[in-house]
Amino acid sequence: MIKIARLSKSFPDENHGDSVCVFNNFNLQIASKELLVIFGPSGCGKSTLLNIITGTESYDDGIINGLQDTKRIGFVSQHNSLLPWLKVIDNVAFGLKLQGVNKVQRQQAAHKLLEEMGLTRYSDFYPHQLSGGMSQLVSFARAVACRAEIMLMDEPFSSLDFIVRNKLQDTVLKIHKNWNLTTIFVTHQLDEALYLADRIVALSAGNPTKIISEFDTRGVKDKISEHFYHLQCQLLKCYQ
Amino acid sequence: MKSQSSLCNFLWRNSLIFALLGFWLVIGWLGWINEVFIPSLPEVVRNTFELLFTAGLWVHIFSSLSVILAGFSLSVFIAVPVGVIMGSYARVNSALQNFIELIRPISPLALYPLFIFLFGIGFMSKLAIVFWVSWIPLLFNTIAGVQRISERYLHIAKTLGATRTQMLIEIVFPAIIPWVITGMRLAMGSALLVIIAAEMIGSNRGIGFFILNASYTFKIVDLYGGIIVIAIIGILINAVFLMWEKRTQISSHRKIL
Repeated sequence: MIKIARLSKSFPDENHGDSVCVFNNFNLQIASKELLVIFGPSGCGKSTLLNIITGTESYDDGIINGLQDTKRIGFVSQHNSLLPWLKVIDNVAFGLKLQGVNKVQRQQAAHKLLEEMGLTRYSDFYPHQLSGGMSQLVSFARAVACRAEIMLMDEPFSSLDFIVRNKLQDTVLKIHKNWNLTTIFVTHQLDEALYLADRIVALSAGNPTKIISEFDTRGVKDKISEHFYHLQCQLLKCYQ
Repeated sequence: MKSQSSLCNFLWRNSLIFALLGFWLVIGWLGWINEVFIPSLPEVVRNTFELLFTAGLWVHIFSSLSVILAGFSLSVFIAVPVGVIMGSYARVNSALQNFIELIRPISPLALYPLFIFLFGIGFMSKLAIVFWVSWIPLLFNTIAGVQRISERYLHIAKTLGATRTQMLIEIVFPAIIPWVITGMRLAMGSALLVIIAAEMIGSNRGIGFFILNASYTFKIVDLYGGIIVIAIIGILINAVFLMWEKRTQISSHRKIL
């Protein structure tokens, strides 16, 4: 379980010389193997929260428990972050290379994962030869390949069209289940949040950011059901 | 159809060269030029082939190329690591920048007498001048390459647990390769220019010396031959670096899906 307690984080405001408080006494718990969706408007601190968890962003105060080994954290950003000088297979194996895994083993692991994601035929492609959706899927494969236990996904499908996004959402659900991941998925797409999440945490837009509501959405997978629509309306109401 | 279009493209791209060569050929036939100063094109071509098939010119070509290669390699080994450090650490960059700006505009030819004084006439002084002219584009291109590495790559490496050394080897070096190769191409061009001049000022070997010697002994056809050889070497070096540059630069336009 990941436990974030009394988290505080401020950024200096370069325009006014003051500081902007993003989090003040922010608390959040993520259960093991849960798929938590953090939902909220742009600029509310969703990405900052993920960066704090990965350790690439510092925080002013608070405690984060449950992240003993940062090498077990996988990260997929909204931008294409594949290394353009590496083939798809080498991009997927990149995290393992950093962990010192030998070439044969990491290539095997990467091949297996590409197969599971239906990307085998692209293994010798370079990133510029892939579509946006494929690139994000390969980024996801790279994050999973490094034996991640915690997967952080920062609006990974925000720039993709509806059809591709739907397909990739299913892949996320499949990999999350098969690899026993604890996933934190950030999005501002209502349907995406409801479809993927075991639980949704809705964040406020104001500074500091607060949790305005939580929804248990386990089992809500039918996008055209009444229940799905009802939850969408409830989530929308939080921001009215 | 495709080969026809590539032939047309080739002819168009080299039209000015062909026009000038044609002009040279015609005025030679018509006898409009003084052949003492401007020999006819067929005579120059014939003589250049003759020079290339005698060991005499190759000694000078190898002499110039060996100095260029040595000075250029030295500048790569020094300028690239220094560029990486300067590009990575703003404080080191600010500490060295004024010094570099101070010495950068000094003409290498102005320093050549000093190099001769320090190292004597020969290989070392020429190596020094080639080094001097090569390190600048290499250093600046490397710094620019490091400073333009996408934050995304660094961020993703950090999240995957990369150490500082891994960051350098796996991210920084591969990312700056296109920049370094462009710097190498510019450096090589400058090195070729400066070595010819240096060999004319103080040397007893090299293409520059060969050309100057041809002018002193009034072998005008040899002089033209030397100039043509320089042009060919320049074109070949540039072509090799352009090919290398093209291979390393990633085209982001082609899609397969």
